[in-house]
Amino acid sequence: MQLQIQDIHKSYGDNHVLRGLSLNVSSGQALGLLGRNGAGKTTLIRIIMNVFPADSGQILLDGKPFLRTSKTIGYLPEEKGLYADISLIRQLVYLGMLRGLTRDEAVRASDYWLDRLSMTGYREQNLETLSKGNQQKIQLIASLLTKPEIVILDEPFSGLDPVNVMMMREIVSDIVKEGRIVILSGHQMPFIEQVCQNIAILDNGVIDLAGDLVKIKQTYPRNTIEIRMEEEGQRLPAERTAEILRELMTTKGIRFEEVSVQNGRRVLVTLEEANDRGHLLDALAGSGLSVERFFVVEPTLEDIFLKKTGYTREDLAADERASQESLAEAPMTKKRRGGLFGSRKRGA
Amino acid sequence: MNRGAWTVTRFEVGNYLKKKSWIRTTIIVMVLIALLMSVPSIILLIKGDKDGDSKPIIIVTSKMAVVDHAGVLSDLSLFEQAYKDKAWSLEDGAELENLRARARKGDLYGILEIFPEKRVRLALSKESMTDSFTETLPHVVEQAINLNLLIKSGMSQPSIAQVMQPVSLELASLSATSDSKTIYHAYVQTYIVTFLLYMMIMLYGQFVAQSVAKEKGNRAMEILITSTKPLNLIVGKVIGTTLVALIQIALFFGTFALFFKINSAALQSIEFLYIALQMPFDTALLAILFFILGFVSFAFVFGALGSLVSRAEDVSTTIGALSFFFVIIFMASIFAMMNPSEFWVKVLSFLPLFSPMLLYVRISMTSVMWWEVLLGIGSQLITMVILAWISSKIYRLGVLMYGKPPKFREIIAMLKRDREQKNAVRAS
Repeated sequence: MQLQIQDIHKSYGDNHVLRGLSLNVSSGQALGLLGRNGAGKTTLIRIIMNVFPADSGQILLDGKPFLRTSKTIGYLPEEKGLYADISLIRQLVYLGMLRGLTRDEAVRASDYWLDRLSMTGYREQNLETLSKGNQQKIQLIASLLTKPEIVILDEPFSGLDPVNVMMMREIVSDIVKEGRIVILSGHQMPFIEQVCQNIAILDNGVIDLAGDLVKIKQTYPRNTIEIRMEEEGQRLPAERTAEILRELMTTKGIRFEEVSVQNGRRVLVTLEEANDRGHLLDALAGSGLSVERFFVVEPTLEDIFLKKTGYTREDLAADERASQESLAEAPMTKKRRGGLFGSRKRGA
Repeated sequence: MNRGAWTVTRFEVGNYLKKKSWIRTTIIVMVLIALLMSVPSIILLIKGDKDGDSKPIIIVTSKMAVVDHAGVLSDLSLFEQAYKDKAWSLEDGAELENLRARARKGDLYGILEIFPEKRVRLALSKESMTDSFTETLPHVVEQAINLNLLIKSGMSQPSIAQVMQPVSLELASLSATSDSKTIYHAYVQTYIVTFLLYMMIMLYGQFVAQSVAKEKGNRAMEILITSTKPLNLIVGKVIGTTLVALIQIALFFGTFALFFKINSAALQSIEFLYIALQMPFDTALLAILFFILGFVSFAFVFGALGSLVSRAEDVSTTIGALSFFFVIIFMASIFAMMNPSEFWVKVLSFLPLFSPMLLYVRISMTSVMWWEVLLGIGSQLITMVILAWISSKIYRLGVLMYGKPPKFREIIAMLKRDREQKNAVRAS
């Protein structure tokens, strides 16, 4: 199966958010949709889900238009929330049935997933009694109940603690193995890098870069090397190592862009020519220094993203802060006395 | 109804029936009905314990003095029969000043003076707006004088009884469906049905709007509209709420009927209750039909309005105009009940949204041609379908809007834009 996104345009007033965006996603792949806040990730996903129409362009499944409300699709929206005052099993069965499952199927699927995410103990409890991470698990279950062929997860990692991120990663890997189409969006590059084979970077309303992450990484020059040295069984301090390396390369005539120290521990040498790696290794061998580690550092997804889009790490950090703040405002965990007679204003 | 809408309906009904506040309110009202229906029995029981008979209790609240200047009265028995809450005494004309002084002190309620040629003077210590006393008194005085004259003339007892026999007036309805019922019965029954419809639409209309707004507020909405058609969501919600309203009415009415049966002996004197239970079967069926038509039509509009606000708390501000419009319809039907045959009532009874109440008033209180009934129901049905369709469109666009509720003009512009956009997408 192939999901084809063709030449999508979308404007909000004068703001041209998507400008002829095209992308193909095939079964058995997880596609990480990357972009800064406001880049149009959620707009694109909502257009795929037909929450609102695109101004032009089309979304096809194997060349044909398709019904977004069918069992084929599972969707975790960016704005997360369900019924606070209704039991988990009741709302899961309801959502499953809305997407076309029979009651029995919906109950069985809900119980299977509750068990798999070790949530069976909360089955009869109301959503509002759960922690935020657990509430998000229920949302994830809701999107997977129908065994969808296409799973679209908008910002699945935001607001999750490390344990739940791991769990989310495992589930996504499993459903990818089952040969489904998975699209997930986010700006937390390390998570996405661990889950997705394919990435698409969304910037300025178009796909800036898309493809297999391993292949993309290979197109970047392999000229950065991490080096660690020791002396009499003790590791040399990073600053000292960097000093020695600068001296060595200058005297041996090896051209380098920079020698940098990351986090006060990692020493990274960026050569002008990747081919000079051998010369550097020879020089080190001949110098009598004790080398503990020498390996080529691949660019991370974040490096690639930043290089491609021209943003800085500070920009990404600002995005993360903004989404944390919006999560704090999200109504999901608020215990509001909603409902029938409770929230009705007097005299209204 | 398709499966999607049916799923929503069942979910909605379940939500209400599981909701503690709904259960609580329903039970409280049922208990209140039961108590109110039992009050006369309880009073009888207490009184019965005291003196062992079950005569209605009469409390004498005021004293009346009668001064017969003309000498035309033999006794005051007719006055005592007509006004059981007053103690009547025949006083001498010489005592008049004395009596006035007592009335001024409040010891006497009033003084009735009777002069020759049936002239009567009444002085009351205080006047009451609601009392029909002054209206009915001349009639009673006349009867008393006449009775005395007849006795003096030597007429036989049976003849006197015949002369004194009051005219009994029965108001008949011209409706073909039920000849026997009086206009008063129809009035009471129509009033109950109309008032119930009014109460239930006001209450549950707000519930529908709140329930939509709540799904927006808790952000479940995006999952819902990507899981099934918006039309299913709103139709399911409206039908579910209608069912719950009917269940509640059935519970209330069941309690009413049950406790009426239990307490029927004590409730004999309360005519109103008998009338309510004597509604003809066909009129009752029509009442349910009009109830559903009116309720569902309004519920759709309430649902659409609910989709325009972001939180359940903001609902009351958007539904204000609709509630006001609905009060106008209710007022119109109250006026229509007073003059159900007027031309304007006829016109409004075919007007969608007015017809559930006004056509019901006409059917219940006057004679209406069968085609008129069909026309009214038909126009309301078509309106209902149109409202459902428009509501689902507004709902579809409204549910993703957060922030300030839009103005009416903005909604129209929004619907237009959406249409143009869809056409453009289709054309490309």
